[in-house]
Amino acid sequence: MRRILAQSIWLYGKLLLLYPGELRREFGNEMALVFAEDIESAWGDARIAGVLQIWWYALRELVTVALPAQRSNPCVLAPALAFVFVAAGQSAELCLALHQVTRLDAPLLFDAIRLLVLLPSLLTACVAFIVTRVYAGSSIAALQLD
Amino acid sequence: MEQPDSPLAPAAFLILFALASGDKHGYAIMQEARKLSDHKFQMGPATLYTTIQRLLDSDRIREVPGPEHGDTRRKYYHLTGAGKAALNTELARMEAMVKKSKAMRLRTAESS
Repeated sequence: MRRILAQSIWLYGKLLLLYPGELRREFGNEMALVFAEDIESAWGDARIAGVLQIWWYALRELVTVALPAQRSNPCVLAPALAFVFVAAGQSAELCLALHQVTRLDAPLLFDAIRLLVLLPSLLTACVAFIVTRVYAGSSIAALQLD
Repeated sequence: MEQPDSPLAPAAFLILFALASGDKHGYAIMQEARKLSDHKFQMGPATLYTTIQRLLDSDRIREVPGPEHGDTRRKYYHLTGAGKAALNTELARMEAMVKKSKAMRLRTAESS
């Protein structure tokens, strides 16, 4: 199996943590299995374009399904929003950069996605998670403004 | 709580439609739903399984044992009588809307 597929399946398994526990416990394994089959089939049909399309649906569902279900849980909501916004911004920058490239190999594109999109997005999400956890433990109401 | 005769959401309608041709597991439902919609409606795993959960809760589908030598990791789903009734109601509703649109000359018989 291609490395990009294995890493996509691994990452999707981690992103399942953003879904409500009840759904994850009941259908988490099946969701991961369906994603794996779908992305393998998309790779067979359209290579990298197919993989990106499957990721587009998966990320869209994070916003439309996972986040509304977790809107009362800031420890999930804040990192997820941070990830989505940074990933969207970085993806847009990468698309602009790719317009300037005349020839692009799949490994180079994969590295670009990993280093320019996923890494900064995950780092920002981690920072957002830590900040949310820290603030969850302290009372913001204690701040007094004169 | 969803009313029994309220219009179905597109994902629920396509899942019931996909199961009308026989019991299926999640990925097979997803593929069949794409085919039925001519690849115009795309759903990912989360939409698929949140909708399956709602349909299970409303007894429109139920989980059934898979084939003897099938993949044990998969769950198979079956369309119940309530599910068939909901699907038929939705199809009748769509047919009635098409008839009305033709009567209002919004859509000609040739273009359908």
